[in-house]
Amino acid sequence: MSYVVAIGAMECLDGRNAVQFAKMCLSLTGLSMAHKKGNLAEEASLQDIDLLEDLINRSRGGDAQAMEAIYERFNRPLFSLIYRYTTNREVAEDLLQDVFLKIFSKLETLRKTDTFVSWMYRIAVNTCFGYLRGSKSQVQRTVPLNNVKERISEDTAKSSDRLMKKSLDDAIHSLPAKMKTIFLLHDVQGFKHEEIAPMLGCSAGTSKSQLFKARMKIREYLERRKVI
Amino acid sequence: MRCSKAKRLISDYIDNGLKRRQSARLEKHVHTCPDCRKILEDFREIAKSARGLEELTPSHKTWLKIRVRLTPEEQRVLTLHPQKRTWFGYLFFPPKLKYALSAAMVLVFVASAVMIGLKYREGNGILGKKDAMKYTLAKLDEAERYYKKAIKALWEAVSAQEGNFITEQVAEVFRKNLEIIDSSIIACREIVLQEPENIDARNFLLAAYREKVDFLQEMMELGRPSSPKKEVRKVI
Repeated sequence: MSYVVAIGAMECLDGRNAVQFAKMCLSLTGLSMAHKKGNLAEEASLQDIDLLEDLINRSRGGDAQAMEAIYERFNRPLFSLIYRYTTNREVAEDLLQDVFLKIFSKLETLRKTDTFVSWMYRIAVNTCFGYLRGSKSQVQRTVPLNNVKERISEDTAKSSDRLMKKSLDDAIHSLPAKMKTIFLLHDVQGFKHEEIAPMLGCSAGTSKSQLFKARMKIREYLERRKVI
Repeated sequence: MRCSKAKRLISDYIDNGLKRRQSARLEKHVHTCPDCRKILEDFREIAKSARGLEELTPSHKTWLKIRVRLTPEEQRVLTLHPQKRTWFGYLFFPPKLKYALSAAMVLVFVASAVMIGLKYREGNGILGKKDAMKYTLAKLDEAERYYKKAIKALWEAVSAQEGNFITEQVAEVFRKNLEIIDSSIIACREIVLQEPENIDARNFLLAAYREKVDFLQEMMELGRPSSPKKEVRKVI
């Protein structure tokens, strides 16, 4: 259902970020209006922005139902982002808890509600960076060639699409933290460079060049595994 | 256009971030350069696959854990899944009123228990032995009824508060303790039914009821936002 809205949002609001936003906002709200495409989808998105603002204001007042609604809307994209830093469900769930606790406890400091989504992602990314700084697991960034060969033989039975996604996940994991963040935010989550820049405290140009480097590294990784 | 420049533009090109003129120049280069064309195709494939990566879902317990970790100030408003109240719940809501009622019922029982004791002692002197036994059994039945009412009221009150404060771990201890007390009550009642005149069995039954009342009261205290955190007592 939400994907129908996402298609409509893409037509009306230009770009994948609209798709992502619609996906995030509508995935769990069950808005039945999503069955119709076009103008109705645009209205739904606009209504959802108002709804989100209302939820933020209510959460500031300590309304737990509003907090839960915010959690329900954003837990999956944030968890997907966090998981790709940790590759461990338990750790990712712990970090997700920390992220939402920070979000709810710092909600008072958010000046403009329309920056909520990027503010929330900034908290998530900073929490992940904090985890990576404290974790020594970064040492295992490279995968020994023998392991790759074994994996390739195991994976040949799988469909090429699944193999590509699995390999891509591995490739993302092998990226340095900043490149990984930009790749995840841009290519996986669908944010624009102009939105990523304030999240990470860098320029849009830096975001673009980091994305290029990330894509090149991923390409090299996938070529080594003969996936592309 | 040189390959080095083309490579840098390919990333922006697939994101529709180039001006029309730049795009046209890049397209022209890619048309004649197989290496750059391969990079363009690979980047498109990577971006497409990245968008199709599975969105992961955290465990359903994650929100519960977040709720528990929210500050007490925020916990007070955590009526996320309000429990369906019974008519009794509506009649004696809010929990403070229920608590007061429960306390009153327990007091009534204590008074009746004292009366039982006095009458039982008097039974040997004023009343005949048979009458005294009947009187005692009647009073014990009455005491049991009061205990049941008190338990019901306390249970309602605890249930009304449960969603606000109980962690999964505490809830588990709570359930286990209640199971033990309930099994004691069932065992004592079976003995009482087999031997209605067995005063010891009746006393054990009432003691089990009292244990349940005490336990529920402890849970009530634990659930009060102002009460200091303390460990849940284990029955066994």
